[in-house]
Amino acid sequence: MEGEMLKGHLDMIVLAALSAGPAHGYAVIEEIRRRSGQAFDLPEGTIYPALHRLEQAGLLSSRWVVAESGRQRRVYKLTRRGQRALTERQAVWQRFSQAIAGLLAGSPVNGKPA
Amino acid sequence: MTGEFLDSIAAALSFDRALARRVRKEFEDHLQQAVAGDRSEDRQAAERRAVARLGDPRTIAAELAVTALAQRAKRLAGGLVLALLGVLLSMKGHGAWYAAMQWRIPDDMQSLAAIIGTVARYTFLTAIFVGAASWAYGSRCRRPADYVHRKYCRTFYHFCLLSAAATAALVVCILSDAVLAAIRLGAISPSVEFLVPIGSIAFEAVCASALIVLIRTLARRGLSTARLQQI
Repeated sequence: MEGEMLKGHLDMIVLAALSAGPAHGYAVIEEIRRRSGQAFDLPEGTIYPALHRLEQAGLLSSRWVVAESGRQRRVYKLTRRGQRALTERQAVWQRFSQAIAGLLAGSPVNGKPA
Repeated sequence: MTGEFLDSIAAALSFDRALARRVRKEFEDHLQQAVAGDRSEDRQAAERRAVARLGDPRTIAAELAVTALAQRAKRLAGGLVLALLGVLLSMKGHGAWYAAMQWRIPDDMQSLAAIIGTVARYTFLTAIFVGAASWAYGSRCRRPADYVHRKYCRTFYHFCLLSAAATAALVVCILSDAVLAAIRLGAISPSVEFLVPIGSIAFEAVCASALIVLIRTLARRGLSTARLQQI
Protein backbone atom coordinates (compact mmCIF):
# COMPACT_ATOMS: atom_id res chain seq x y z
CA MET A 1 0.00 0.00 0.00
CA GLU A 2 1.30 3.50 -0.86
CA GLY A 3 2.80 5.20 2.19
CA GLU A 4 1.46 8.65 1.32
CA MET A 5 -2.08 7.26 0.88
CA LEU A 6 -1.84 5.66 4.30
CA LYS A 7 -0.46 8.80 5.95
CA GLY A 8 -3.52 10.77 4.84
CA HIS A 9 -5.77 8.31 6.64
CA LEU A 10 -3.54 7.50 9.59
CA ASP A 11 -5.81 9.07 12.20
CA MET A 12 -8.82 7.08 10.99
CA ILE A 13 -6.73 3.90 10.84
CA VAL A 14 -5.53 4.36 14.43
CA LEU A 15 -9.03 5.21 15.68
CA ALA A 16 -10.41 2.13 13.92
CA ALA A 17 -7.69 -0.08 15.43
CA LEU A 18 -8.69 1.15 18.89
CA SER A 19 -12.41 0.63 18.31
CA ALA A 20 -12.08 -2.97 19.53
CA GLY A 21 -10.91 -1.76 22.94
CA PRO A 22 -8.02 -0.13 24.81
CA ALA A 23 -4.54 -1.06 23.57
CA HIS A 24 -0.90 0.01 23.83
CA GLY A 25 1.12 1.29 20.86
CA TYR A 26 2.59 -2.06 19.83
CA ALA A 27 -0.83 -3.75 19.99
CA VAL A 28 -2.31 -0.96 17.85
CA ILE A 29 0.33 -1.61 15.18
CA GLU A 30 -0.34 -5.37 15.32
CA GLU A 31 -4.09 -4.76 15.08
CA ILE A 32 -3.64 -2.53 12.03
CA ARG A 33 -1.53 -5.24 10.36
CA ARG A 34 -3.97 -7.98 11.29
CA ARG A 35 -7.14 -6.16 10.22
CA SER A 36 -5.59 -5.00 6.94
CA GLY A 37 -4.38 -8.53 6.12
CA GLN A 38 -0.75 -7.29 6.42
CA ALA A 39 -1.44 -4.73 3.65
CA PHE A 40 -0.77 -1.74 5.93
CA ASP A 41 2.83 -1.99 6.98
CA LEU A 42 3.54 1.52 8.23
CA PRO A 43 6.87 2.60 9.72
CA GLU A 44 6.01 1.75 13.32
CA GLY A 45 7.37 5.04 14.63
CA THR A 46 4.63 6.99 12.83
CA ILE A 47 1.94 5.46 15.05
CA TYR A 48 3.14 7.09 18.27
CA PRO A 49 2.97 10.71 17.05
CA ALA A 50 -0.53 9.88 15.75
CA LEU A 51 -1.52 8.45 19.15
CA HIS A 52 -0.16 11.54 20.96
CA ARG A 53 -1.86 13.88 18.48
CA LEU A 54 -5.22 12.13 18.79
CA GLU A 55 -4.91 12.20 22.57
CA GLN A 56 -4.14 15.91 22.48
CA ALA A 57 -7.21 16.44 20.29
CA GLY A 58 -9.33 14.66 22.92
CA LEU A 59 -10.15 11.70 20.67
CA LEU A 60 -8.13 9.29 22.82
CA SER A 61 -7.27 9.06 26.49
CA SER A 62 -4.28 7.21 27.89
CA ARG A 63 -2.86 5.93 31.17
CA TRP A 64 0.05 3.89 32.43
CA VAL A 65 -0.64 0.29 33.40
CA VAL A 66 1.74 -2.37 34.65
CA ALA A 67 2.06 -5.25 32.20
CA GLU A 68 2.40 -8.89 33.29
CA SER A 69 6.12 -8.58 32.71
CA GLY A 70 6.18 -5.79 35.32
CA ARG A 71 6.97 -3.15 32.70
CA GLN A 72 5.02 0.08 32.55
CA ARG A 73 2.88 0.35 29.47
CA ARG A 74 0.90 3.28 28.05
CA VAL A 75 -2.60 2.14 27.12
CA TYR A 76 -4.79 4.23 24.80
CA LYS A 77 -8.57 4.22 24.70
CA LEU A 78 -11.14 5.86 22.42
CA THR A 79 -13.05 8.65 24.13
CA ARG A 80 -16.71 9.34 23.29
CA ARG A 81 -15.53 12.14 21.08
CA GLY A 82 -13.12 9.75 19.40
CA GLN A 83 -15.91 7.24 18.85
CA ARG A 84 -18.04 9.96 17.22
CA ALA A 85 -15.10 11.11 15.08
CA LEU A 86 -14.52 7.53 13.91
CA THR A 87 -18.19 7.09 12.98
CA GLU A 88 -18.13 10.35 11.01
CA ARG A 89 -14.90 9.41 9.23
CA GLN A 90 -16.23 5.96 8.42
CA ALA A 91 -19.32 7.51 6.80
CA VAL A 92 -17.19 9.92 4.75
CA TRP A 93 -14.90 7.07 3.72
CA GLN A 94 -17.87 4.88 2.67
CA ARG A 95 -19.20 7.63 0.43
CA PHE A 96 -15.76 8.29 -1.00
CA SER A 97 -14.96 4.65 -1.68
CA GLN A 98 -18.39 4.07 -3.29
CA ALA A 99 -17.83 7.10 -5.50
CA ILE A 100 -14.37 5.87 -6.53
CA ALA A 101 -15.71 2.35 -7.12
CA GLY A 102 -18.48 3.77 -9.32
CA LEU A 103 -16.00 5.95 -11.16
CA LEU A 104 -13.68 3.06 -11.85
CA ALA A 105 -16.53 0.75 -12.85
CA GLY A 106 -18.02 3.42 -15.09
CA SER A 107 -21.45 3.33 -13.40
CA PRO A 108 -22.90 6.21 -11.29
CA VAL A 109 -23.45 5.77 -7.55
CA ASN A 110 -26.44 7.35 -5.78
CA GLY A 111 -25.92 9.16 -2.52
CA LYS A 112 -24.45 12.25 -0.95
CA PRO A 113 -21.37 13.83 -2.48
CA ALA A 114 -18.13 12.46 -0.92
CA MET B 1 21.01 -1.22 19.56
CA THR B 2 17.64 -0.52 21.21
CA GLY B 3 19.49 1.47 23.90
CA GLU B 4 21.00 3.72 21.23
CA PHE B 5 17.56 4.37 19.75
CA LEU B 6 16.09 5.16 23.17
CA ASP B 7 18.99 7.46 24.08
CA SER B 8 18.73 9.21 20.76
CA ILE B 9 14.98 9.90 20.98
CA ALA B 10 15.25 10.96 24.66
CA ALA B 11 18.20 13.27 23.84
CA ALA B 12 16.27 14.86 20.96
CA LEU B 13 13.43 15.64 23.39
CA SER B 14 15.66 16.64 26.32
CA PHE B 15 14.18 20.19 26.32
CA ASP B 16 10.91 18.66 27.56
CA ARG B 17 11.84 16.21 30.31
CA ALA B 18 8.33 14.92 30.98
CA LEU B 19 7.80 14.15 27.30
CA ALA B 20 11.27 12.59 26.96
CA ARG B 21 10.58 10.30 29.93
CA ARG B 22 7.17 9.25 28.64
CA VAL B 23 8.42 8.63 25.10
CA ARG B 24 11.44 6.68 26.31
CA LYS B 25 9.25 4.41 28.44
CA GLU B 26 6.75 3.91 25.62
CA PHE B 27 9.41 3.02 23.06
CA GLU B 28 11.29 0.84 25.53
CA ASP B 29 8.12 -1.21 25.98
CA HIS B 30 7.51 -1.26 22.22
CA LEU B 31 11.05 -2.43 21.43
CA GLN B 32 10.98 -5.14 24.08
CA GLN B 33 7.73 -6.49 22.67
CA ALA B 34 9.01 -6.29 19.12
CA VAL B 35 12.21 -8.16 20.01
CA ALA B 36 10.26 -10.75 22.03
CA GLY B 37 7.91 -11.26 19.08
CA ASP B 38 10.77 -11.80 16.63
CA ARG B 39 11.21 -15.50 15.83
CA SER B 40 14.92 -15.18 15.11
CA GLU B 41 17.31 -16.57 17.68
CA ASP B 42 19.83 -13.85 16.95
CA ARG B 43 18.84 -11.19 19.48
CA GLN B 44 21.01 -8.48 17.97
CA ALA B 45 19.47 -9.02 14.54
CA ALA B 46 16.00 -8.91 16.13
CA GLU B 47 16.88 -5.63 17.85
CA ARG B 48 18.21 -4.20 14.58
CA ARG B 49 14.98 -5.11 12.79
CA ALA B 50 12.81 -3.68 15.60
CA VAL B 51 14.72 -0.39 15.51
CA ALA B 52 14.65 -0.25 11.69
CA ARG B 53 10.87 -0.76 11.68
CA LEU B 54 10.43 2.24 13.98
CA GLY B 55 12.23 4.68 11.68
CA ASP B 56 14.44 7.70 12.39
CA PRO B 57 14.30 8.70 16.10
CA ARG B 58 14.78 12.42 15.37
CA THR B 59 11.91 12.46 12.87
CA ILE B 60 9.64 10.75 15.41
CA ALA B 61 10.85 13.14 18.13
CA ALA B 62 10.09 16.15 15.90
CA GLU B 63 6.50 14.93 15.37
CA LEU B 64 6.01 14.29 19.07
CA ALA B 65 7.50 17.65 20.03
CA VAL B 66 5.04 19.56 17.83
CA THR B 67 2.11 17.77 19.44
CA ALA B 68 3.45 18.49 22.94
CA LEU B 69 3.98 22.12 21.96
CA ALA B 70 0.36 22.39 20.86
CA GLN B 71 -0.72 21.04 24.24
CA ARG B 72 1.38 23.64 26.02
CA ALA B 73 0.09 26.41 23.76
CA LYS B 74 -3.39 25.41 24.88
CA ARG B 75 -2.28 25.70 28.52
CA LEU B 76 -0.78 29.14 27.93
CA ALA B 77 -3.97 30.37 26.23
CA GLY B 78 -5.99 29.10 29.19
CA GLY B 79 -3.48 30.62 31.63
CA LEU B 80 -3.73 33.98 29.89
CA VAL B 81 -7.53 34.05 30.22
CA LEU B 82 -7.35 32.99 33.89
CA ALA B 83 -4.67 35.58 34.69
CA LEU B 84 -6.66 38.39 33.06
CA LEU B 85 -9.76 37.32 34.95
CA GLY B 86 -7.79 37.02 38.21
CA VAL B 87 -6.26 40.50 37.84
CA LEU B 88 -9.65 42.01 36.99
CA LEU B 89 -11.28 40.45 40.07
CA SER B 90 -8.34 41.48 42.25
CA MET B 91 -8.47 45.10 41.07
CA LYS B 92 -12.24 45.24 41.56
CA GLY B 93 -11.77 43.64 44.98
CA HIS B 94 -9.27 46.09 46.38
CA GLY B 95 -11.10 48.96 44.69
CA ALA B 96 -14.16 47.99 46.72
CA TRP B 97 -11.97 47.70 49.84
CA TYR B 98 -10.63 51.26 49.35
CA ALA B 99 -14.22 52.49 49.10
CA ALA B 100 -15.29 50.55 52.20
CA MET B 101 -12.31 51.83 54.22
CA GLN B 102 -12.71 55.33 52.76
CA TRP B 103 -9.06 55.51 51.81
CA ARG B 104 -8.83 58.41 49.45
CA ILE B 105 -5.98 59.70 47.34
CA PRO B 106 -4.50 62.91 48.84
CA ASP B 107 -5.57 66.09 47.03
CA ASP B 108 -2.02 67.02 46.00
CA MET B 109 -1.64 63.65 44.27
CA GLN B 110 -4.98 63.65 42.44
CA SER B 111 -3.64 64.75 39.05
CA LEU B 112 -0.77 62.22 39.11
CA ALA B 113 -3.16 59.48 40.27
CA ALA B 114 -5.55 60.35 37.43
CA ILE B 115 -2.77 59.85 34.87
CA ILE B 116 -1.65 56.57 36.45
CA GLY B 117 -5.28 55.41 36.69
CA THR B 118 -5.74 56.11 32.97
CA VAL B 119 -2.57 54.15 32.20
CA ALA B 120 -3.82 51.24 34.34
CA ARG B 121 -7.23 51.25 32.64
CA TYR B 122 -5.94 51.39 29.08
CA THR B 123 -3.15 48.89 29.58
CA PHE B 124 -5.69 46.49 31.07
CA LEU B 125 -8.01 46.99 28.08
CA THR B 126 -5.02 46.46 25.79
CA ALA B 127 -4.17 43.25 27.66
CA ILE B 128 -7.79 42.08 27.23
CA PHE B 129 -7.92 42.80 23.49
CA VAL B 130 -4.46 41.46 22.69
CA GLY B 131 -5.14 38.48 24.99
CA ALA B 132 -8.37 37.76 23.11
CA ALA B 133 -6.51 38.01 19.80
CA SER B 134 -3.85 35.68 21.18
CA TRP B 135 -6.53 33.21 22.32
CA ALA B 136 -8.20 33.28 18.89
CA TYR B 137 -4.90 33.03 17.03
CA GLY B 138 -3.68 30.36 19.42
CA SER B 139 -6.62 28.12 18.56
CA ARG B 140 -4.83 27.61 15.24
CA CYS B 141 -1.87 26.22 17.21
CA ARG B 142 -4.10 23.73 18.91
CA ARG B 143 -5.90 22.13 15.97
CA PRO B 144 -4.34 18.85 14.84
CA ALA B 145 -5.18 19.63 11.20
CA ASP B 146 -2.63 22.44 11.24
CA TYR B 147 0.36 20.35 12.13
CA VAL B 148 2.18 21.18 8.94
CA HIS B 149 5.46 21.97 10.61
CA ARG B 150 6.76 25.15 8.98
CA LYS B 151 3.32 26.73 8.90
CA TYR B 152 2.82 25.62 12.49
CA CYS B 153 6.09 27.22 13.62
CA ARG B 154 5.07 30.56 12.12
CA THR B 155 1.62 30.42 13.72
CA PHE B 156 3.21 29.44 17.02
CA TYR B 157 5.71 32.33 16.83
CA HIS B 158 2.88 34.84 16.29
CA PHE B 159 0.90 33.28 19.14
CA CYS B 160 3.89 33.69 21.48
CA LEU B 161 4.36 37.32 20.38
CA LEU B 162 0.70 38.16 21.00
CA SER B 163 0.77 36.42 24.39
CA ALA B 164 3.94 38.30 25.33
CA ALA B 165 2.37 41.62 24.24
CA ALA B 166 -0.77 40.92 26.33
CA THR B 167 1.42 39.99 29.31
CA ALA B 168 3.55 43.13 28.90
CA ALA B 169 0.39 45.28 28.94
CA LEU B 170 -0.81 43.39 32.01
CA VAL B 171 2.52 43.98 33.80
CA VAL B 172 2.30 47.74 33.13
CA CYS B 173 -1.30 47.69 34.42
CA ILE B 174 -0.26 45.87 37.62
CA LEU B 175 2.65 48.27 38.18
CA SER B 176 0.31 51.24 37.74
CA ASP B 177 -2.12 49.64 40.15
CA ALA B 178 0.71 49.13 42.67
CA VAL B 179 1.81 52.78 42.35
CA LEU B 180 -1.78 53.92 42.89
CA ALA B 181 -2.00 51.72 45.99
CA ALA B 182 1.30 53.15 47.29
CA ILE B 183 0.01 56.73 46.81
CA ARG B 184 -3.23 55.89 48.59
CA LEU B 185 -1.67 53.93 51.46
CA GLY B 186 1.21 56.39 51.89
CA ALA B 187 -1.21 59.02 53.10
CA ILE B 188 -2.57 57.00 56.01
CA SER B 189 -0.99 55.29 59.00
CA PRO B 190 -0.22 51.56 58.51
CA SER B 191 -2.73 49.02 59.81
CA VAL B 192 -3.69 45.36 59.40
CA GLU B 193 -6.25 46.44 56.77
CA PHE B 194 -3.30 47.23 54.48
CA LEU B 195 -2.89 43.49 54.00
CA VAL B 196 -5.93 43.35 51.71
CA PRO B 197 -4.60 45.62 48.93
CA ILE B 198 -1.02 44.40 49.45
CA GLY B 199 -2.13 40.74 49.22
CA SER B 200 -4.31 41.52 46.24
CA ILE B 201 -1.48 43.25 44.35
CA ALA B 202 0.88 40.42 45.29
CA PHE B 203 -1.67 38.01 43.75
CA GLU B 204 -1.68 40.10 40.55
CA ALA B 205 2.12 39.97 40.50
CA VAL B 206 2.02 36.17 40.89
CA CYS B 207 -0.43 35.92 37.95
CA ALA B 208 1.84 38.01 35.74
CA SER B 209 4.97 36.10 36.84
CA ALA B 210 3.28 32.77 36.10
CA LEU B 211 2.42 34.03 32.62
CA ILE B 212 6.00 35.21 32.02
CA VAL B 213 7.34 31.81 33.09
CA LEU B 214 4.82 30.00 30.84
CA ILE B 215 5.67 32.16 27.82
CA ARG B 216 9.42 31.83 28.41
CA THR B 217 9.18 28.03 28.72
CA LEU B 218 6.93 27.76 25.68
CA ALA B 219 9.19 29.99 23.57
CA ARG B 220 12.25 27.93 24.52
CA ARG B 221 10.47 24.68 23.69
CA GLY B 222 9.25 26.22 20.46
CA LEU B 223 12.85 27.06 19.47
CA SER B 224 14.06 23.57 20.37
CA THR B 225 11.18 22.03 18.40
CA ALA B 226 11.96 24.20 15.39
CA ARG B 227 15.63 23.13 15.58
CA LEU B 228 14.55 19.51 15.78
CA GLN B 229 12.56 19.90 12.58
CA GLN B 230 15.58 21.16 10.65
CA ILE B 231 16.75 17.64 9.82
